[in-house]
Amino acid sequence: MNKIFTAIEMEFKSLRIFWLQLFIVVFVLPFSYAFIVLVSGNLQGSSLNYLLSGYIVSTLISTFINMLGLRITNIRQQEALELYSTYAIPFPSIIISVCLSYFLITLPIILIVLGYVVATAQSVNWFFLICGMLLTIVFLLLISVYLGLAMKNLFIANGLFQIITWALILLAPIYYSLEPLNPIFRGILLVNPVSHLLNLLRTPLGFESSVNLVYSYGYIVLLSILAFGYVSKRINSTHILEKIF
Amino acid sequence: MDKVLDVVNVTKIYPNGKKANDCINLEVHKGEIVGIIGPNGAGKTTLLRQILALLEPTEGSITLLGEDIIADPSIIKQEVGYEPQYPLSFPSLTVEETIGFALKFKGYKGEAFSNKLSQIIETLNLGEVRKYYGYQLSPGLIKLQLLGVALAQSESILVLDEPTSMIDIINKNHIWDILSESTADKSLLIASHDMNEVKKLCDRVYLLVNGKVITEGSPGHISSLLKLPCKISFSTSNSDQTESLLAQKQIEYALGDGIFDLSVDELSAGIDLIKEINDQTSISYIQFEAPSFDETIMKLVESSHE
Repeated sequence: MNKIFTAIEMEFKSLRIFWLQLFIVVFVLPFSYAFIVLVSGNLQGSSLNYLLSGYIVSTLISTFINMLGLRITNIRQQEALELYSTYAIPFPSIIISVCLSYFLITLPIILIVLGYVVATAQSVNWFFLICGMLLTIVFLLLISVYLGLAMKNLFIANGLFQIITWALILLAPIYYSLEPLNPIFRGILLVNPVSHLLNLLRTPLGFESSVNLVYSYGYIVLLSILAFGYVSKRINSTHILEKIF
Repeated sequence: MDKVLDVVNVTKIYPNGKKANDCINLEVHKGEIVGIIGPNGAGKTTLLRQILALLEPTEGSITLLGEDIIADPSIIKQEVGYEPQYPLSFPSLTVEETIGFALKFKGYKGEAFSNKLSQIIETLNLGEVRKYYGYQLSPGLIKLQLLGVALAQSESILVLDEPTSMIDIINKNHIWDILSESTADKSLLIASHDMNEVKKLCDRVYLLVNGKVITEGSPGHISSLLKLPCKISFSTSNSDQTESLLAQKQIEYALGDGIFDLSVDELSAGIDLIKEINDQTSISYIQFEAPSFDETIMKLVESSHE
């Protein structure tokens, strides 16, 4: 466990020169979407909470896929693997510590925004809210690590992850409602796991949804298991340079 | 001597079919410095990467302190310090942070951590740049930093891939001294292109060509494997007298700025000739190269290609 803490410290220090990129990805991009919706309508009460719950998910997507995913692709480059091999820390521990680092980066925003939402919500199902929040974080971490490991080319990943982030955020009811949309478009949006992540967070906060919560849990858990299977197989491979050649 | 590392019949074939290592056998004993030399693409780095369990051997076995590292490579992280060939660094970590994290991963804390970190930084003459970030360092300084990480990390063996490439001659000699002294408690396995380094440091050398070990032994033993010409450069107090002696013996030579350059078939013939010249006129400068380790290696590599 000490090695994980040391690796987290190392990751935070490594991020020092990327603070501006981090600020943009973690705060500016997700907030800019929310800001546009915020200033375009007179949102109050439950509508504001609807928007802020979406803001939490979009912050996680933006940070994890854009930054964490790219970081994982960077780590699996031959040079980075060789550099890390000079330290007494195994590859799975490096990946876990990087994931925890990016989770810690988003934690203040999650706590502040979720605290406000919970304080102003008319009803809260604490059990499902905590389960939904944890599953959302775990799923997005797994998907980001999956994408990071699956991508070989760092330069392509740099552009592709931004497109994936953009698609996941726009093709999900983060800043708009699913209900008034036509059934075909709604069906398309429900393929996007982010629509279900939003359901996991909003239903415990009292927002009604046309999608069954059990269905959303089943979908996300299934995708998480598949991603976990792939990720654990890749990071547990002892001979880490083997796949590169 | 106790065997620290034992590589037995290791073969590595890449997915594209290229055979990088072919049935390699290699041993490193306690307190020994072993060199791996060979031309580019000979398979040196591939062999080191298998020893570090970064690559999996297609065939063969590798044991470190008696433990099979292919079955369980965890011992590598405990025992081996590794310096990669290329100058790799974390751009936003300082020199002392980069080396310090290696110590932290090894479990160093408090005063023991500070003392060990200062000792490594001072040993490698990195004091002036200890606060420099990775992106500010020259390739030579990055290589020194990597050596610092390897020294911090290693318990029983240091695996160094071209440890002094890109490093200036002053620091090179200093590092050779450090590495020689480190054999009190460590063994060293060094892959290098630098023949001076190999000659100066290594107790035994393996010559790798096209993935195969074509010879092994001490640098002195390898130098004596082939009968090669002996090159002599010298100047005398009486050049005319020396010229007439060489003409009389029908020895070809070149003369420039009072320095004679010539070549004889064997070392013993060269010694006899120099004695004879010195009896007639005093020798004021002499450089003897006989037979050169570098040349022997080149000839061995050429003959293995043929």
